[in-house]
Amino acid sequence: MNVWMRLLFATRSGTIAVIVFAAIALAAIAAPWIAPQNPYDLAALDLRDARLPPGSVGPSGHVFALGSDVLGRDVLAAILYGLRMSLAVGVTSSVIALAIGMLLGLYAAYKGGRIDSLLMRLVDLQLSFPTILVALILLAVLGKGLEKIVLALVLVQWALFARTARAAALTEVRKDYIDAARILRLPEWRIVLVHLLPNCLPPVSAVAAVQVAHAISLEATMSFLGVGLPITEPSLGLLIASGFQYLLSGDYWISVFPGVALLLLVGSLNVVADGLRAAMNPRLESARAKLPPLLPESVQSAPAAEAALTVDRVTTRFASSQGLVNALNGVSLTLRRGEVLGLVGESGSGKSVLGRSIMGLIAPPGRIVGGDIWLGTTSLTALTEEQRRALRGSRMAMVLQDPLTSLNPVLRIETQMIETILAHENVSKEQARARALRALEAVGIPAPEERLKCYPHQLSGGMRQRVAIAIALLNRPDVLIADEPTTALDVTIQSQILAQVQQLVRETGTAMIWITHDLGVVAGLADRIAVMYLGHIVEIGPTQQILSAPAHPYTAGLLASIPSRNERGQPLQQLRGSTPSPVGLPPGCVFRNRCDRSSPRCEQMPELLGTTRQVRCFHPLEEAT
Amino acid sequence: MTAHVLLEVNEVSRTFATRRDFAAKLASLLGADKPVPAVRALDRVSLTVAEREVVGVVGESGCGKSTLARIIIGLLTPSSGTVTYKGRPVHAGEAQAPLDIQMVFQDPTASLNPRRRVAELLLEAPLVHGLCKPEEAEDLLASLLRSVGLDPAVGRRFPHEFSGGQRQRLGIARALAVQPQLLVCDEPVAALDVSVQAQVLNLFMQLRAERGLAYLFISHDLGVVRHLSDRVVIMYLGRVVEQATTEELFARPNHPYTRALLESAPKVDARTTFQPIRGEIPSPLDPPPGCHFHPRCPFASERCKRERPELAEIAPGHWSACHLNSGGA
Repeated sequence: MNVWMRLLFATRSGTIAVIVFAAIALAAIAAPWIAPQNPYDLAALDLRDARLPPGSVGPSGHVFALGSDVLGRDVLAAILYGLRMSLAVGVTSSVIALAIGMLLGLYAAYKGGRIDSLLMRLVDLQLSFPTILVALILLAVLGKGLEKIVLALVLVQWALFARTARAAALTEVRKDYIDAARILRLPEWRIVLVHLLPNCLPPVSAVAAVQVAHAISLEATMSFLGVGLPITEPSLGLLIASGFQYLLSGDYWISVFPGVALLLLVGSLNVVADGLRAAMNPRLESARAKLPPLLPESVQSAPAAEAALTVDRVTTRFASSQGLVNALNGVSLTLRRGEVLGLVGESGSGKSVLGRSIMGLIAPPGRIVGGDIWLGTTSLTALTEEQRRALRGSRMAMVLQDPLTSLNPVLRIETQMIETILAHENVSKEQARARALRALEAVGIPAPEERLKCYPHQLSGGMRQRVAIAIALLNRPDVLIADEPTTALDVTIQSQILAQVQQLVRETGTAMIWITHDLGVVAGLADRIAVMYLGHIVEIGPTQQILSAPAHPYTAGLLASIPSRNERGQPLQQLRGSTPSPVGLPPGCVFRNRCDRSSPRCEQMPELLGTTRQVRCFHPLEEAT
Repeated sequence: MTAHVLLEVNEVSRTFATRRDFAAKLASLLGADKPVPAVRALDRVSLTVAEREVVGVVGESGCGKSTLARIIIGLLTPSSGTVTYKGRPVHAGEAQAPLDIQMVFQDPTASLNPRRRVAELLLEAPLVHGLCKPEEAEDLLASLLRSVGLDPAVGRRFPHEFSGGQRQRLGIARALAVQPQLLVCDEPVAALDVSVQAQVLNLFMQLRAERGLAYLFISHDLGVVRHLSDRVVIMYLGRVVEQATTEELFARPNHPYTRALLESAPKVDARTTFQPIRGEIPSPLDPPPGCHFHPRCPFASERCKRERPELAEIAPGHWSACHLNSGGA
């Protein structure tokens, strides 16, 4: 609840709305004690006080701050009592409707099948009629009265709650924790009430806040039309109706002040509801975060002449509610033409952020705060976004884990491939198509002529990834960044794609960074391996050397824990602990709290030393060379 | 295996009818006699798990391993065939599967209710089932947390306060809370970081030694399965194609698919050039006739296209479903 509150107060309109609503609600609740008069105690009214303008003192001696109505009632007092009634009716009916709708919605989602479709058809039916019409008809049948209007309001509201709760529950019900509860043979009611309900409450409560406002205005409308509360009950709707005929004669206050009060109540409630909904969407929060500040400019260094890619002390940071996330801390590496670099790391190591930093794809709340990236001799950080876009797809390209994110679902493969070629080269459409065909052949796609005419969804996951790779290599880029492209694929398909990619980059001379968490994948693929941990390269060197004689204790620990390097059935060697959060890391070596070789010296950050075999450690297992 | 059989899966099949769209329903109403397409997720699968035994199930997507897991723990019923636990049917009418079979899930985050505290997560089932008195709950909680290597004082915390590996430990502790004898583990380390995988695998082995647990261990990672399992079952498109003791299977893989799988698995210690088997995994909606593997098999013959090979014992305890073993293809 406090998280919600924090987010509610994050915007000015939210803060104002919360304050206005709280003030109205407090005044309404306290009405019997703070109202200058009990306007529904008919004996206390004095008819001589009727229709006095605001600020006047009546013959009875009473001061009418907001004027008086036809019966000589203090309008301010009547408004306070009316607000009290509005809130009571609105909240009561919405809460009852929420309880009924939520239970039905949750049960329908949990059971599925016939119960679900039956209930949802009923909901559809109800929601297809305008609420106000249903309420009118119901009240015409039920008659006037407090409990009757509450009943009518429950009947018009439950369906919306049922639908919202069901939608929320449908995603929850598929989660493993519900399966776990079933396997633990917990009673059905318990699964629905104890496990499902609390997880479905947030979206439903946002709807509830809107619904309270809606119910309040419905009550006012019904009362105004004369089918809601009886004349003896306090109601803003009745009050507005009673002053309506005097509006033209200039006695505006009887209707206008209650109207303004109603507007403030409903309006502030709606803004609060909006705030609640926004609070539950974490994306809105991160969009508000400030960008991390840039580092002071450092001395620029020229890229190595023969390098396809030079990454020079790149630092990338993300703003988050917990603080700055140091995703990359001054990462440097070079890639020769045609070289394959395996970039290995666990979650949070920064390996994907490095890939996206190179491609210029870091979006707010993150940004590259320091360092430079050179594609050949072109400095990428000095380019405009437009110039960078021209390079992407021609001189550098990227393949992602999920090919569907890079393929357009509504365009044929053919269209997408031809577009990619034509965007960067001045060739005829026929030539482009012929090249697309050859590219599909080259990644091992059978019957490429047919596949060209397919849409992405008509292909299997493996085929889609091949298409994505073919598109990435279409313009023979200097650099290809492959971010876990085979992780989601089956091993037999993975080995096919690895074989093809290896051959292709050899032919095109493309330098490639293959990002993965699986050392086995890069063992057969990469010329060199770079190991990342918490935003640092801790070790980089030729594949065979890294795999057979790792220098950094982290690399050594990872390799030692692989089952094939342990005796079958014996306890595996394991790294202790887990990767700490990248927010607020203490200075020094980032691995030292999990390291068996650490010493007081490790409270300083070691440099990445060496030339062919680089390692960032004061106590390496192998010396840097 | 001389030990008592704990779980017996006997000729279990499971088909899922695909939902017909409106056009298909209309067509069948009008008399068009088109059969409803059905996915045969499991096709006459048999296997056993003995007391204290670890059986690894390996296969790629569409092989039916997750459907098998859901049937064994009673979340799904088989279309035909039986599953018995200690001789009693698991799916007998309304009677549900026994608490003795529990499950460890792939995604440690999704498998823990985010709004419940650790103590509630772990103690709910034993309290509901009367396996523990309320006054003993504290002790049970501490001993459960200790047995999975967590601090016994974390009972008031929520799942999001733990790392991925610790959450998986919580998931294991929750399963242990009802004193199961068989744990069905569906890719239990696939979502964990490499450096944490070894810790969790070690925990599985330690729990087996301490509690005499049996495991049905489903994984796509051959290295993990080889390390933990006593026996391995290889599945392809809903069928068991080979099963044997772990040593036997890895030393003398028989089925061409098993061999392809072993060759395709990425290895750290051999700079192999990739030697892929050809072709894609066919859709389970429309599996090839005969041997499901024949379109990708380098040894396939006419017979493989027509006739389904049955599992046959090719060496003591080593079963394989390939025509090559019965007088050639």
